Amino acid sequence: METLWQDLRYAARSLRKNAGFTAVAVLTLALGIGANTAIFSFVYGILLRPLPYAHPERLVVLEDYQANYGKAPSSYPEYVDWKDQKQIFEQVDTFFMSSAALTGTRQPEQVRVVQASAGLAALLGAQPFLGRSFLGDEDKPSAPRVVMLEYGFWQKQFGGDRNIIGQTLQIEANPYTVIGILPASFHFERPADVWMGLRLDESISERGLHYLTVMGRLRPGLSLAAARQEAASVEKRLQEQRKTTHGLRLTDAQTFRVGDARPSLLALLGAVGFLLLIACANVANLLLARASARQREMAVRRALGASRGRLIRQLLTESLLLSALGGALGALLAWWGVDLMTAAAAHSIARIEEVRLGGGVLLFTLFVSVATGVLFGLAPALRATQSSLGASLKAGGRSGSEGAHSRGLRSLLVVSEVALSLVLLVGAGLMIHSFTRLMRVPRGFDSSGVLSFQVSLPKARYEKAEQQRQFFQATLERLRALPGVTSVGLTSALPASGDGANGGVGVEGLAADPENLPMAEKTITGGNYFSAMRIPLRRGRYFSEKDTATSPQTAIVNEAFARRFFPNQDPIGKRLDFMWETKGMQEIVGVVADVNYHGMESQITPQIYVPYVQRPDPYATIVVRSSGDLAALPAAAREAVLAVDASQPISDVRTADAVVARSLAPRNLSVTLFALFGGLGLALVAVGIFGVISYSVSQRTREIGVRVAFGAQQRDIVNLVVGQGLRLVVAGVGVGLLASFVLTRLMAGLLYSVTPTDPVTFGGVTVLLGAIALAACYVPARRAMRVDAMVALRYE
Amino acid sequence: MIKLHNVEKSYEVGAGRTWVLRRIDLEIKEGEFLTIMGPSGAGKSTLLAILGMLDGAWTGEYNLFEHAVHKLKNQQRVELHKRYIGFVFQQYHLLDNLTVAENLDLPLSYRDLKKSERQSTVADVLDRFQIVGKKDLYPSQLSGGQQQLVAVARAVIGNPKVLLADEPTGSLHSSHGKMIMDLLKELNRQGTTIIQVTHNDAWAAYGGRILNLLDGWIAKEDRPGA
Repeated sequence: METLWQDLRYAARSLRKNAGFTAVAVLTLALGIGANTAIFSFVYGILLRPLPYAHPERLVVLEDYQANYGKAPSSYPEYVDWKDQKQIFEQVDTFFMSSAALTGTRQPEQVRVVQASAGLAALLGAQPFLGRSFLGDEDKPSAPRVVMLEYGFWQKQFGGDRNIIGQTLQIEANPYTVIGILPASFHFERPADVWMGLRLDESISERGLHYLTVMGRLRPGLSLAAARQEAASVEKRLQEQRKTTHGLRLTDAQTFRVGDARPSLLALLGAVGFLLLIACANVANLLLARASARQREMAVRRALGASRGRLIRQLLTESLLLSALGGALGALLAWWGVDLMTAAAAHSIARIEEVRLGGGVLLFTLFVSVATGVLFGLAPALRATQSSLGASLKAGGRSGSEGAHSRGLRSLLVVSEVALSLVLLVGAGLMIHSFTRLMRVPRGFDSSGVLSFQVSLPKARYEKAEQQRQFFQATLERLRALPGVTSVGLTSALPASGDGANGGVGVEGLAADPENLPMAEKTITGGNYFSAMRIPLRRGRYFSEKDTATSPQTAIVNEAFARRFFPNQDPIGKRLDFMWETKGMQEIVGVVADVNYHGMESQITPQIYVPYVQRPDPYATIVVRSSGDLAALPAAAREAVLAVDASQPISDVRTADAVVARSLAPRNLSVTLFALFGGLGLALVAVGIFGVISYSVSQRTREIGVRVAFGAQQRDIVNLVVGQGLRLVVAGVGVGLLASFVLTRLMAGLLYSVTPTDPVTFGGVTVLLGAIALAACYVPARRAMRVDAMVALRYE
Repeated sequence: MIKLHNVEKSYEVGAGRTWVLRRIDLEIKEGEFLTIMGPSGAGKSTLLAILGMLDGAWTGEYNLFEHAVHKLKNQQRVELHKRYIGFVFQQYHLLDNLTVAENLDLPLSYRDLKKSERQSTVADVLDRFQIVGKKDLYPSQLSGGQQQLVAVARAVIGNPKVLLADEPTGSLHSSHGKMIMDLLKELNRQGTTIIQVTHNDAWAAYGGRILNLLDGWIAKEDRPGA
């Protein structure tokens, strides 16, 4: 123990005395370890840490499935069917998200509501810390109106007043009694303020309406695989009973929650792993150079009785001290980086609010630091203690010169660095290329200059369709009159927002079993929605004043719908059935461009729009296009709404640009990180090549002097030095290209419209790396060029 | 004490072989002061390295006291070296990062001694070599003679039976050289066997026996006092 302490003290002194070397090594390691710590904190917080619910390992999400449509949310009858499968599930509950107007407080406010079946909170293990949870039948439409409040909302809205229990809140103009406050430690998977019972009436209990998230807990001892097998037989039985092709799919709750984040996080973890290996190779190279200079010291120590094991231990102590310093600085960088990244991707990646630099992550950092210290320290330590003692001591006071073995090892490290860096750069290049492709995809709408906000009319005050129609008509008129506003419309879902409803539709002339209707996205639009969003018309017409509550019902479809259901036909004049609180058929009057409502990267699906006047709804997102400053618009919009109804709140006020940016945020973040890590890798490789060639030049000063003395021109010396570097780079690029061909296939799922072996990316990255490597070789070559033969030979 | 029989060392060079030492037969008695001389490349330092067990790649027989060194494994040789051998180099080879006291402590730290025991030994040696005032200085703060004085002190701190000195005065001014040689003589008088390599005839004469090497062979053996 005491000798260990002595080793540590000497190591610290040795590093302090070589401040330049120490600074470069620690910084290099900090970048590698810091990047790994930051990305691992995301992987840990999002993928590895169990969901903060009771028995998370047994929680599953039950989804509707159709072979030609894929997975979809569930309908109420499906939930009821599945709830009874006691041989699979201990408990099954459901919820959907909605928003509601809270009035009677300081100012009317739109609150986020979890409408849940009575047992959902218990299923997730959330016990109110104040009051009680829902009773068994409190989710029925006839039950007394009661709510539970989320902790944050209770604090914000009621200042943590414990007497709120038993008080009445006006929600959607109905009185609701507060029965409980959920604990601060409970984080539901969607941001919410208020929990209320499901209260499903018949109008939204149809089998064709898919909007419920259904969660269940598997029976104890039943694995997911066994549950899926069991579910397959249940599915078959139900399909026969209900005469339907709709099936059931089980996904573990964590995978469901994390969704698309998993592959990109794992790819990023791979990228930072490569970055760390490059950093290790760089530091190992520095240590090898230092080991050559320390041959004499090692020889003296051995002459004084140190065993090789003892010397290796001492050198590894230095490496570990370096990696510990690198790890500490890396943790600081990661702490800052995680803050930056969570802010950049707030709300756009599932569980991002749970990402932090906690104990588990720091344990990982410690492990990485120790592993790194051994990884980059072992080879130089073995090398340093291997040289011939007699030769080292006889070399006098001069620094030892490098042996062929060391040179080979250093060259191998550079080749590895170049190869690793090429793989990293190809990965980054593919991500950037995908992103530029994605940016160039026609979106079918123009988000610039558009402000949007949501309005949810309380049914108690706006029970009749005509009341709803009048409110929105008056509001749109007021908004249209605002200065700078060019067009105003409303929609049930905003492009790229991820909102929207889908379900079965009828198409005239297309025979389909009522239980197996083709699926389509359904959107209700009003005012000049298509003009406000600049969604181009392809055929026919937009909705107009001709479309009234009493005129024949009309619909507009997107190009995907026209292609799918009317291939090589003119859809104008054809009829369809919207099947969402509508009666009778709608005539198609127009075809508009494809617009993606589920995020920029989702597949375009068939879509139907119907006019608001013919299908009123208490809920709408209003879009306002203005040629003026959007910053002044929210206040004016709020006033316009209050002028129509003084107790009507608005919510989710944001620009359409912000909605698009949010849908792109996860990819934006991963592209930025890939580019950052690729750039760092490139910089480290440049430093690595520069270091090796510089060191080689310093070792070859005498040789260069002799060459110059015998007539070598400056060009010959440059060729000699650059040639040495480029041979390593070419070898590294070769290995890197081979590795990239294999590894980038793992990234296929992350790419958009780019193949994993995209020749443009591979070629571009190779040229970039080659150019940087050439520059890194040329700088020491210029120094070699200036070697004075006489000075060099005299020095030696 | 030391018996070498038919010790040879060579390198393969291309298809041929370069000999460094040829058929060395040598006996050194305990308490002897032996000088090894010869031109550059004669094999003097190599012989010293073999005697000090710093070089393991040779053939022949080497007996140190009752130990047949040629039969020992590397780790056993390290142990034997620690027990019997002290080294002094021409370039002093003090470690730049360590103070005088820490340089003296170094060989002891490789012998698994208790810290208190080591501190006491270092203090004794500092006193004996009259370098107490320099104990916290770094080598770069000392003159060449002072550095070699510390190097000799470091070589003898483990009470070696044999002190191997490879041109110990080679880098020193003659007055400092004499001081070091007198010191070696005194150590020899106290019982330490000294084997030195030197080019200097005056310093060679401190030895009781002079061995001349030429191209790896023992060319001549003199006894100055005889």
